[in-house]
Amino acid sequence: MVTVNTQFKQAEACGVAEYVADRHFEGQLEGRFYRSSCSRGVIDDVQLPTFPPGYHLFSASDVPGKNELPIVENDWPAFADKEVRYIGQVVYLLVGPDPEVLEDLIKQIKITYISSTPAFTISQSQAMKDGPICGSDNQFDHHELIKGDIDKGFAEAVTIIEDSCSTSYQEHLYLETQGVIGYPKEGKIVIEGSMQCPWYVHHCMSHVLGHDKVRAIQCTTGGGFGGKEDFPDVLAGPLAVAVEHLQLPIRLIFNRTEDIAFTSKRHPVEFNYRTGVDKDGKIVAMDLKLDINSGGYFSLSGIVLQRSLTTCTNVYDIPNVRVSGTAWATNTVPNGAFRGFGAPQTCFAIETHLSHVAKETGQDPAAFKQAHFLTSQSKTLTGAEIYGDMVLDQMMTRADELSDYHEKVKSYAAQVQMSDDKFGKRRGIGLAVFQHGCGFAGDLEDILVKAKVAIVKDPQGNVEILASNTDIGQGLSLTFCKIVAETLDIPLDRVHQARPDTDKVPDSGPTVASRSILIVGYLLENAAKELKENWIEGVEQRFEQVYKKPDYHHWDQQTYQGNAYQATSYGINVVEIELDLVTCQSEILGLWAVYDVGHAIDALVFQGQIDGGLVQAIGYGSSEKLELNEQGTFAQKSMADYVIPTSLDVPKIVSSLVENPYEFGPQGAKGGGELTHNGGAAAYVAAVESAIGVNISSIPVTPELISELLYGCENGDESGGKNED
Amino acid sequence: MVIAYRPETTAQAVEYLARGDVAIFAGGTDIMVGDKPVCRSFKGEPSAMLFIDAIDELKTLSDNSKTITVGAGLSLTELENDHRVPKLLRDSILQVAAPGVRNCATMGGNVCNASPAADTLPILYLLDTQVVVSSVNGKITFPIEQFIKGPGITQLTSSDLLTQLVIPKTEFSHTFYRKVGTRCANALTKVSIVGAANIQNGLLSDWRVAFGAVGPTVVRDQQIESLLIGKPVAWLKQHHNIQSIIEAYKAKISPLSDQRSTATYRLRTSLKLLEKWLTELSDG
Amino acid sequence: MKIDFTLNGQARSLNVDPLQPLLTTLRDVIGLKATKEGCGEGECGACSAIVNGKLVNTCLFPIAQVDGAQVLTLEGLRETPRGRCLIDALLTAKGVQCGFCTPGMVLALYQVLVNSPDVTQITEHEIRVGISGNLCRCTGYGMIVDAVNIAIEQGEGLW
Repeated sequence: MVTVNTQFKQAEACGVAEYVADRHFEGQLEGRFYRSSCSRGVIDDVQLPTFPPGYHLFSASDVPGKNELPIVENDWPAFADKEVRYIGQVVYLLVGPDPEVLEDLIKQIKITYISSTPAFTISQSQAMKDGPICGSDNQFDHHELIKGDIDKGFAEAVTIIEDSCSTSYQEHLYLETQGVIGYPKEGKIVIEGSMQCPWYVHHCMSHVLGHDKVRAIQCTTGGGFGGKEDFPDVLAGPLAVAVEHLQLPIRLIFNRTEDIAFTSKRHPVEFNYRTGVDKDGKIVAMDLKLDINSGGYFSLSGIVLQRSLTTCTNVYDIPNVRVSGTAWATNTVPNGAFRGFGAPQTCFAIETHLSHVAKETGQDPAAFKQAHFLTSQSKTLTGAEIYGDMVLDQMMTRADELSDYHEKVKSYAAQVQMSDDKFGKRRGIGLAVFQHGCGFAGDLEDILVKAKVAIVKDPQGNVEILASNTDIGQGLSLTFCKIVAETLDIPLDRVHQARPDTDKVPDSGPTVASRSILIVGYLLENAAKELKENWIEGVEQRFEQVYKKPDYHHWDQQTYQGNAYQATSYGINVVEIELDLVTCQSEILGLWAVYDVGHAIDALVFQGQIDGGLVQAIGYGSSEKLELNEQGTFAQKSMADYVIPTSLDVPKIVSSLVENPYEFGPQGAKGGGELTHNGGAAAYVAAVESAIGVNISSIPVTPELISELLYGCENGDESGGKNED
Repeated sequence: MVIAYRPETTAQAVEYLARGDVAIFAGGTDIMVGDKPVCRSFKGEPSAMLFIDAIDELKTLSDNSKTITVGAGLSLTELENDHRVPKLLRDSILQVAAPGVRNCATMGGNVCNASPAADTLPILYLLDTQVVVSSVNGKITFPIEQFIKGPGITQLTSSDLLTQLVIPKTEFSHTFYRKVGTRCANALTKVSIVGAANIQNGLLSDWRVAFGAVGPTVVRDQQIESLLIGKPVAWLKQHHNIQSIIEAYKAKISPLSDQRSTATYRLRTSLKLLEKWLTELSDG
Repeated sequence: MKIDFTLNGQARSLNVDPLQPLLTTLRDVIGLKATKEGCGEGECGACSAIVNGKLVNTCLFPIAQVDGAQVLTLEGLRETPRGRCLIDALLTAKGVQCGFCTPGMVLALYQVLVNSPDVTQITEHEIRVGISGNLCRCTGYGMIVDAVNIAIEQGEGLW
């Protein structure tokens, strides 16, 4: 059966797909947030202007249910009522017909705060000036994980290397900003919008309103990358309150400045390694301390922390490990989900650190890493057997064939010394190996999510997929349809996915964590198999499936022992650059990528993930600078300031897949969407290190940073001006 | 609602300006950024906006044996595609924003906006461009370095319209241009440098350099230039001579740190680019 | 201010604030919503349209300058054989992911094709320059660039 769909995404390409800003309801009102101007404080006094008729203000006191956003812990209020923890925190929602009047009213609201000293960085959080922001110690979460015997490991070491790595913020910069529109319909409060997880929004509305007469519907969504996992709750909670009170349609759409300034970001993380290498050049012990900057509320930090800890040794078999991780409260926007969910940080740090260890002990980084690869016989950091085959060696061979990595390493090492060529260019090549655990952490798929799907065949033999997983650009809808059509052996155009609408689709869980294909796709495949076996012409049939954990999968959340994830995908990226020694700018000459995602259900759809994920990761490693200013807000405020790659910044990517089918995935597939963001930054940094011969320990690696590394000691401090925003 | 004038002749345009409280709208690619349109060259909110895009006179480009006269209303794309325009200027235009902005942004707007980071300004300074300003009282011509007084500040009074740029035709045997932007396209400038020289019979018969984004306005210094003009190329072979030129510019350059880059990087990179160019010249 | 112009081949007459961005006129006044707002400051290209044969960012383009002009948006282009060919090519290349940049991207690609004296000679660099003002966060651009070659192949004689 030929199942090619060249018309997939036609509505988007023709401009007829309706994103939330394209929706229109008769008499719809506009909503605008009034936000805290204080990064840490208590509301002392409020002066409100007189509202003209038809204009309304909603606050914590209008919440009929609980004034909380139910994101893991319920610590984040829908409306700040007493305490504020960051600049931009929602205090009020203003609603009315004319946005200009709303903006004017916002300017007239005066709140005075009793403020205390804010903490923006991890070290400021640790210092606890004016006491803790939360709990007794500013720690949202803390865990320790031990493998083997760390003391015994260090006793065998002949070289011990201490090293630090750090990562900064990253902004999703989805092309469509956050937005939702709410309205009453058939006794329910309905919210449509740009979102990854309609059931999250559904639960949030229900929690805030105190009843379950609610409904969430996904609109065509202009990119998410994790940014529309938890964050739509921040809009939906207050909006649900206003819609319930007014019983009118209201829309709430962020402008770009607001979106960059106040939505969640990728967590900055600091890594401190102490690594012991024995006389044979093998790592015998690794002691790692990692600290993540959570921002003002706990949000998803615990899960990011768990992934950072349980995957901190990446694809390597290290016998003795101790890792301790802490999530710190600070007075910035709460950091949240972003493609990779802690893994891009962890992969950058471990890859960079191991390159440094290799160089320090006189070994070739790639060979050194390869000598430590997990094999099918290894046990993971969390003590589990490896399920399935490891194909990392094959992937290394493929990456080398595509990129000519080893030859280039040799030839670039022999480049003329910098002093002979100080105005020229130098080339560099770097490689990173990485993994991504697919599905929710540990056994949460089993004990928390319990995904449900259904497929419905109509009497004409057309099949509808009912699942809550959303196509946010990654092509999920086509992949789902292909799984079902190919299992049923029917033409692809007879299968379609229903719009994710909580009135219609069961809760198959959120569109996150590279779980949609692995977990939900597998359920769909099984539902389709059941339909195929029981197919009756001419009648409507419905088959449901509920997640069941594979027998091999075990997890202990207390001890972090067992299979940290149900399955793991793997990747290798190679980056080749040419660095201008005068300006310290680098041009990317080549990008190569090799992946084990089990099996790609649609090779072109997955190529879209490969290309997009790698370019996003290159931006993360090189140009996407997002810095806090003295007020604890971001210095980069616009799409001009926050520098993502354009079409001229990256070349065409050459990629390849190694087939390694996974038994419990649809057609043998594992997850892949996040994986593609995990290695690019590390490979880019390795390429820059190879060009300049100097170690780098933080991202983004801007020309300014490279210039400092190369020339910082030349003429002392040359700084002339002062900081100007 | 603001009143809109959209005349078809310069004469009509300056008539409107003479009425006062009128702001000029050329390509608008800076004015339209932000929640409300803001003209850098106009203080406050004008009661009328003068759109000059329909004035054909402002869209002509002519040349004679000595100069090229560029209408202020020509878009950057139109200049990019006209081979009479000096190559250095076209090279800099190709690095401005992206096609959609270059199709709208005008040469005159770029000059009147007087941004320290404007990409075309260092080239215009280097080429000794004259700025022609018209009003109901007639025409005045300024050398560009006098026309621009500071960031967003020019000699333009509320009744003036910049109508033309007159660029002397100068042949150079050696040129050098680098924009260091935030990325490869759609990039704002961290630092830029343009240089031009003539080497005749082993002598530097002409030598110029201008820097962008390293001070409140473009940095060009003809006194320092005169130190090189007339010198044999071999003079540059002496490392300390190059160093003395660099030191002289170091004293003239005063970049700031902002979210885009650091003062240290801007200063270091502009001087290294200068050194690179001088070293290239020393090789003939 | 009274504005008369031609939008996708149809005469239009409006009375609007002269400084209203064309983007606002298209979306909120006329109700054509293919043109998207990504940033509102000319950085992302999602609002691209073609005015008098030139690609512009409609968020920066005041309606006063549209008086007397020919405006082409995706709503108009998609009805033409060239537009259909290009959209099909983009879909074949899987150059559409979230789709939010796509309307602007289609118009930018269209300009690359129609401005080329010989489409068989278009280089990858020229395509990349043509879309350099159109940010895409999903695709990494490679498959969008591929679409031009597919359009040239499938639309033989069209270009």
